[in-house]
Amino acid sequence: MSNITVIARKEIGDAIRSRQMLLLVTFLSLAILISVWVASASFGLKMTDYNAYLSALTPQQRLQALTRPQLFPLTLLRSGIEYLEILGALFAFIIGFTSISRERSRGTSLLLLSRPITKREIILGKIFGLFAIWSVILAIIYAASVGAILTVGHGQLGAIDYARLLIAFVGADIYLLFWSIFAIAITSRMKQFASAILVGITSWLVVVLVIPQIGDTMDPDNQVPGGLFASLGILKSNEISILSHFHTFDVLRNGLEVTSITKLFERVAFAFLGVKDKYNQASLSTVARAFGTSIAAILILTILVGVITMMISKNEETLKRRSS
Amino acid sequence: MITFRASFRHELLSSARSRSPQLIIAVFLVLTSISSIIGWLTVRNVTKIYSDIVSQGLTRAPNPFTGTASLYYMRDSVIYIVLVGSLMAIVLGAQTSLRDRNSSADVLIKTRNVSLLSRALGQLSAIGTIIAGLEAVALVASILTIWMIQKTPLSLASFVHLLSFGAISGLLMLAIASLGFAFGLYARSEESALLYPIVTWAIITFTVPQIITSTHPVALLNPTPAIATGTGLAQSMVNTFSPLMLMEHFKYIANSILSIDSSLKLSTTSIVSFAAFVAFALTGSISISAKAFGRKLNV
Repeated sequence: MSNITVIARKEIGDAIRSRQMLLLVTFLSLAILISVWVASASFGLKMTDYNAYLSALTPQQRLQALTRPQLFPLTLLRSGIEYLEILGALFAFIIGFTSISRERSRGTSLLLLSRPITKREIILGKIFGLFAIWSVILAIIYAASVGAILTVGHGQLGAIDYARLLIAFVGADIYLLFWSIFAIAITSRMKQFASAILVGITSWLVVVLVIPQIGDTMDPDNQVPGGLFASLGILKSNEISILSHFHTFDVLRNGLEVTSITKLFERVAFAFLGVKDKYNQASLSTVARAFGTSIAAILILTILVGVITMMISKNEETLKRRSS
Repeated sequence: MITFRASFRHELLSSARSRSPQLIIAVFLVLTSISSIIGWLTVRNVTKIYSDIVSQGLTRAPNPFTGTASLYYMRDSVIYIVLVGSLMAIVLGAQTSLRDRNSSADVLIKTRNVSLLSRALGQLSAIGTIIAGLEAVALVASILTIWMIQKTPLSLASFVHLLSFGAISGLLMLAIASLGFAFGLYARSEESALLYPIVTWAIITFTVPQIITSTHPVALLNPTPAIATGTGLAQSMVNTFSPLMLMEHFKYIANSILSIDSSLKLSTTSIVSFAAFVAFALTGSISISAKAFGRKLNV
């Protein structure tokens, strides 16, 4: 068995025994379950309103009634995906951080380095271990999400829905791995654990919350409750032609948003799950073609942070300090 | 009084020397200072779009931004206080108590005849002073930016509203910092002293409002408070848990002070919940600090 496999297996073993890990997985699963229940209850209320509206109409008026609200089961997971992108990223950082801080504070990293094993192998082993851990966690959350849709959400899923969900969760796996690798990089390199946490939390804050928030603020349609164009009574076709006159502003706004891996992941996941109206019920190939660049960007960013972490492993100080 | 003064001065000095929180403080100052510019850019763009729509004869509706308050440009500051300000406060609070525990100064202090209550009050007052100073810098930057944007200084009434917003924001951050301070004294390790309050903050900011209002977590990044659209929860449950939506209550109060959205009415629940949280956080952390002082780190 190679050194990398040994480290990866040890990482998985530690995770299985960790109470912190159990707490995080339970919390994420519960948050997703609650979000499906909330979305399903909201839809139920919408249906009640619609039925009340229908019963108030005469048989003749019913012929021209508004269309019945339709439930697309995967859209019930919208908040669940948002939890993964916000809290999942925070937990991924915490898990990556703990994976290194544990070794440093116990002094086991120094013991490891006294053996015929390189820092590069240790870090690679940890990355593979974390990838396996996230894959298992997400498989559990995938099952919890499907269960929540079928039971709490009273939705029905076809084979294509399972495939869409799988793609969204593979994307989540890579996205969360990005944050765990980032945590490994700064925790193995920084002198103080508190500084590593601060740098990590500040980065999380900026990438996950601030950049998407500024992007949303700059979206003109978000400035008025119910949407600017809807409030002015503008048709969708006119909206597109009007916005084309403000292309530069939109390019700036979009440019800012795509600097955040969180926003990239959100766009891809929402498109595959049909949360974004434009891609609801669109074929997988259509969505993949439309979001090919975003998918590539998520992969490149994750590989890049992995490469930088490997380069950090060459530094003399990396993993060497016992604790601080 | 001597203990209070000595702790206050020592805390100010130590915080000034500490390099760890500098990054998050910088992010807070930059964002709160530029929030007016972001707000102005967006309003300008929407107004241009509106003019374009009107010139094509597609609407007769009034410009949605006609008659907006001059402090409307600061609407994003509300969310930066909730996001960056809160996390900065946790860091400042936790670092204060962790500093004593890391240097084992707490062991030394316990051997002396020192009032732990006065010491905690002195330390928290120093954190409050730092937060007030940072908030003052952010407000001055906003005043200058709005002055430049509008080409006229803020009216006295707007100035008072701005100061009130600063005071409310400062109170929120001080209350959160005092919780960070308590976690810093109580937690077994430096990591958990920072991580537990951050996870608690995330639950209060995202999970609780979602359960009560059915708002998506990302929509909670909006500076205007979430409005309940029905989650199937019984009204009694909503009434019981809604005081926990602290950040949404803060948004309601801030919205009312800055006159961001006149359709939102400030309720007594928001004021009482916010005041109760501040009182609970401050008194709770001070009483905990006297009991938990001197706990060993990493055991």
